Amino acid sequence: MKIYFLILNVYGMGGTVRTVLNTANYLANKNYSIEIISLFRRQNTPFFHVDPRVKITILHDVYARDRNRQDIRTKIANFLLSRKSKLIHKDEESIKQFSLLTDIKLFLYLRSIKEGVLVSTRPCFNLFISKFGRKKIKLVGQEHINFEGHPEGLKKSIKKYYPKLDYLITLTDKDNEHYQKIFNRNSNLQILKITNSVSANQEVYKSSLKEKTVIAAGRLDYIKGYDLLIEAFSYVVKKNPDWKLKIYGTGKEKNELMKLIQDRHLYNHVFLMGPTKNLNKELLNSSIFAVSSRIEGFGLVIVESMQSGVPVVSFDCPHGPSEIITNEVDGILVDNENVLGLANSINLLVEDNELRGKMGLHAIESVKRFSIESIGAQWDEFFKSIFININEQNHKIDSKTLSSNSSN
Amino acid sequence: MKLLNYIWDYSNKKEVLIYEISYRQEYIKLYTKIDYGNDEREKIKEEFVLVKNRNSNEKHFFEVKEKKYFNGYETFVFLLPLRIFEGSYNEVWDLYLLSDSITSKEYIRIKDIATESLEVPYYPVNKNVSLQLFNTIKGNLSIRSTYNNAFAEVHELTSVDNNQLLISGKVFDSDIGTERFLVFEDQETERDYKFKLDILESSNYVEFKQNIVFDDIKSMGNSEFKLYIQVGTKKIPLSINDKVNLKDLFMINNSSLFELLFKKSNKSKHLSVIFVNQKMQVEITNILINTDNVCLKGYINSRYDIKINGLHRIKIKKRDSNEIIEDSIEVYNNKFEYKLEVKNLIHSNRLINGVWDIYLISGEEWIRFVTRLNGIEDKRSIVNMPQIISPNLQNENKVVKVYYTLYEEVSILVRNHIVNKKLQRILFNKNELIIDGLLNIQTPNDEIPELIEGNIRFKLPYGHKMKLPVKVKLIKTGRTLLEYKYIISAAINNSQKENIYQNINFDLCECEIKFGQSNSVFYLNLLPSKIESTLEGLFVKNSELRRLSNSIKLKFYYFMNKVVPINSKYVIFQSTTGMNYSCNPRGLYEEMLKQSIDFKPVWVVNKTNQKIQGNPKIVKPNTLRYYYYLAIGKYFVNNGNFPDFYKKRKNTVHIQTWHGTPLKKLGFDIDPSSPSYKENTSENLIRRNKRWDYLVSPNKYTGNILQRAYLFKNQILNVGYPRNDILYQDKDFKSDQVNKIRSYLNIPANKKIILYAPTWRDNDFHNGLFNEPYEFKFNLNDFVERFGNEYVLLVRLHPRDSIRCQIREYENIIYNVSNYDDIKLLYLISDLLITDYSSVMFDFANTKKPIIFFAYDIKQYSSALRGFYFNLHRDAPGPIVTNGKDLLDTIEISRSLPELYFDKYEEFYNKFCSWEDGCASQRIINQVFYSLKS
Repeated sequence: MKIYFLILNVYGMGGTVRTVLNTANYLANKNYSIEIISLFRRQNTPFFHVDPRVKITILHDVYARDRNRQDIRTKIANFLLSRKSKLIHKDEESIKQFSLLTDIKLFLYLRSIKEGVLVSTRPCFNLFISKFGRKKIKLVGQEHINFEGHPEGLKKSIKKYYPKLDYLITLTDKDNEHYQKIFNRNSNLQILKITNSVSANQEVYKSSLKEKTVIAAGRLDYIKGYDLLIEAFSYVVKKNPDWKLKIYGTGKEKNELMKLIQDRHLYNHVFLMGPTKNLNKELLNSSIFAVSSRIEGFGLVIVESMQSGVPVVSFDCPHGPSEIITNEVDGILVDNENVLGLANSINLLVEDNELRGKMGLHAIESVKRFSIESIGAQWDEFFKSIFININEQNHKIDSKTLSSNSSN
Repeated sequence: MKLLNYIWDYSNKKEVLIYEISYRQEYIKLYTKIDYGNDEREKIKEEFVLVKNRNSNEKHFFEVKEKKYFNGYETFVFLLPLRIFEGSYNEVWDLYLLSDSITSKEYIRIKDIATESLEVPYYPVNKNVSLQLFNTIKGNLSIRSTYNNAFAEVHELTSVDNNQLLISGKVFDSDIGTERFLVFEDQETERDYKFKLDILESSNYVEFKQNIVFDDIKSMGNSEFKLYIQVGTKKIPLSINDKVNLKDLFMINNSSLFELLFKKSNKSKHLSVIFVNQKMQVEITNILINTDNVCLKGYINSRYDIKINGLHRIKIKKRDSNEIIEDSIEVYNNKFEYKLEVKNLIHSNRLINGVWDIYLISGEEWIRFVTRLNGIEDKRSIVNMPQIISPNLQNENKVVKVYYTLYEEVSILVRNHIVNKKLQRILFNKNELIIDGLLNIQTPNDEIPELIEGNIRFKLPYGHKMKLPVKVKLIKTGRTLLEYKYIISAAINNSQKENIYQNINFDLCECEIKFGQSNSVFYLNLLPSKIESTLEGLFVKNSELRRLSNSIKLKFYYFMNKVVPINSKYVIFQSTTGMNYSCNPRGLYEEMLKQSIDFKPVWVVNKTNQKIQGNPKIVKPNTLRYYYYLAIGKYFVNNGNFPDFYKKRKNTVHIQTWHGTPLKKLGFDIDPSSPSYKENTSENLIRRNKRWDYLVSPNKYTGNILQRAYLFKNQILNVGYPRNDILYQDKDFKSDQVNKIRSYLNIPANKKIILYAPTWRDNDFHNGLFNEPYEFKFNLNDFVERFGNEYVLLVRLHPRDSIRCQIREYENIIYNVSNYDDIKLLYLISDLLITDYSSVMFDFANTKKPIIFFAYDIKQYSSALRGFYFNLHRDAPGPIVTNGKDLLDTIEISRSLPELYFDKYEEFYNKFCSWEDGCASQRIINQVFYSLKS
């Protein structure tokens, strides 16, 4: 029995890719047959490690494609690429990446799956498989963001189509409760919580917390709120001018953030470091991790930071940070989008070495619950129960046919 | 459904991939996985790995044995024997899995996820061949066999006992048994520091592990050293494995403490180092950029904990030249705060365009301002400080940028506010001149008004100038931080229109636009080929229409080429791919006119406004007339080749005049392992060269080379070059010509002329400097001061570089002649030539006037020089100087050069110019065009 994961681009470096690969690699090691269906290939090789036992199927290879070829197939494909998608929900965040061509490829491939379990990883995919997946396969949707974070149109579609899925997995308890409320009339859809995981493959070392560095890491875009963090840091610098802020990651806001650093004259203190493959190494050289997101699906970086013993100061944004951090025990939660509050909390940890150290130690203990061993085991349980379920159903069908046969 | 499947056949296919690779002396171990997809696992009779040569189709089959079976997939280990690659040079091999089953035989291309994590980039097969395993664009595994690819890599770099450098690594190179040296190549001077290496093993690759002891690090200086492994005469760049730690390498040498700062270049991983004396360091802790000045806060880090106080000198030095700005700072308890008054320095023209480095002077030593202790590496790419825009003495805006260098030193870059990025169109409307294109405007550039006023200045022949007021529209494109679209419009009357049209790129066009109280100036090289008629404008917008019209014209050509008879009077001339009316074809043409040859000349030129004597037909490439004449012409005179589409008809006569005595290796003479080998020996090139019926040679050296390098078997004409005929005309004719040209270029009669014609350098172009002002490697101010009364300097850059000749301040002493049609006329009027590695030297020598070789980058050029037919060091007919000061000193004594270099020059002349006597064209006419003589 095969398990399929449907993801947008397994070659990229986002949180979803990370956690899906953690799970897939773990399960492959437990001898599951895993296939990752990646709609796109945009980079030459995957950013994160892929276990060789995991099969990757690419539907649309953007990297290798030569759109200037003159043959008919390419010309038809180019035409289809230029038409808007009809099957993907128009409120999907990355709707521009989708087209009629990706519709056709997704549809055909999906229909070619005749049995197994299919896990999809974003709302538009969840909707897609609920509408077009074959009846025999078990459909599992995953929600990485809280319900209220969706646009209205998407919310309506979710209410209408998610019940066609067999399972819905959320990342946080709050989300779980919320979805239970929405779908409580529909008992066919099972909703459960499995959070994201951090891999334990690499050895995780503890930071000494001696470096006068605050770090942040994530995609440079509006949701991550690095503009707010930079503003906050200008206050930190006034009181503690020997501290630095390093922001790792890349994204479309890069130029805006660069300009903000220039305008506030923070170029001696705030640095846009570019992406890093080894966040753990950077964590070892830092003392505080800052999260300024306006919205979070979960906050995997928070877990990673706590794993290295680096206490986190984060906005209490919906949803995620508050389920990972216990305020004032293993990290600090600040009112959402409160820039001064963020600055004050950072200053608190900057100025109190002892508090920093204590929080760091608590943090390490606290996040053991997110390790891939523990999360992977949850997935293992989950799939085992699905298999048992399928066997029972088959058994029922068999006995039905047996009895109907015998009655003839 | 079937139709959909045609577009994209995606059934879950069988897939084969390599997930791990390891190297053994005689084979490469490939760990392979087969994934079955949705297909039922069929009964497979036999399975093989196929290694196929992409070029020659040579195939090798290897049976797959000992598979391991898992849930949904299988694995096996495949040993790829290296012996099959033993004779393979510069070829690509692809890997497939061949599955022979009951129903079908299928080949599946093998994919790869292992090459990213390979330890070394090359696996040696034997002393001549190495293999490079790589990942193709489609994610498949391929193998490239490279010939004798020398490669050296460091695996370990540490400090031993605080006074030795331990360096160990591998060298992949075919020369076994010769000595190997570690070389530190000084990038500023010409010195090399060599250390002999003890070799550990002698096999396909060689390992070294050496403790390097430096004699006197202090005497090695502050400059950057690039590291090489020298094998015989070959210098192999030493690169470094990504995993090696380059930090914290300290050494005590002659009682001084040094830090060895190693860096590796991003792409090639080539290792370089600077030696930093730790006795005293100037560490900058804070830089504040204000609108008028830059504030640098820091402290002096002294090794011996000496307290430093008092006034200290600061020197801000322009790189690659002697210009220095002096200043001072007050130091209290080792701390200081230095305010660099940028606005004043720019306004007084002291801080001019270029790169400036800041030093603190302590006794005799110059200590660079650096920031190395703030825990941020690679500040060069991470730190972006705001720029300062400020006007200079001429009220022109300059932009100042403070930044960090590769070695974390503080430097200042001063450049122009605006440069032209791309010229798109020139339109002559009824009463208006419109020029549009793209500009780069430096940041901060958010508040630029949409419509600005300004002027444009045209320089015209005979010293005339035209200044027109303009309105400039500016729109930020958003594609990059700097890019703006511009549309310049100027009102012009008919006579102005005519004047500009005829002389549009006599010299650069200067545009000055007003920004508040000051102006920003940028230059345009208005190419005649960008002049558009409004009808064409419609066409250009629709590229589909254009493509359609081009293919129709081509069909027309092929038709004419087959059907219409050749007209034996038509002679088609082209020079430098139509860029100008010049060189040998021009020389031959003008002689044919003089001799009243009965012919119908056709000139192929890009410029619609080209003036050519004798009233020939003038056609622009890719027009109907162009194709027509190419089809019916009998004689073809070119110094390059006609494009690939051209099909040579029987009974047509092609005369290849070539375009200069060759310096750089050509055609089949090029080293097969060189990257340019392929394009210089390509099938298309060979096919084009086969068209030549006659090849003109100016000297024995050239004839031999061209015949050999291009496999030329037809008639060679050993006659000299038509373009040099003019240099041998009678005195009166020549002096008359000289007067005419001087007047045209507006050169005062009492001044002597120096022609500066440096060769084209790839680096400048590829480093994105193609629009930045050309940086002269000698001080222009000094030149003007010393020689401005006696000489004028004509600067001839490569046409592609012409726009960079921005020498506004030196009008009437320095001239830009990069756009001037024919360089032979510049030879005629010049009294002294300054060049470097350019074949202009061979033609200029016909004048017997002195030549100075200004090879300011001879060090970087040394490997290229090895690829020359001519030994510059040994046979140059004039002095070779490598820095600006020496150049100016040599110009001072240029009168005595003919005497000093008499023998060398004579030898040079005999070898390259002895056939020239002014009758080259005559001889060609006699041999080739005898049937047209009246």
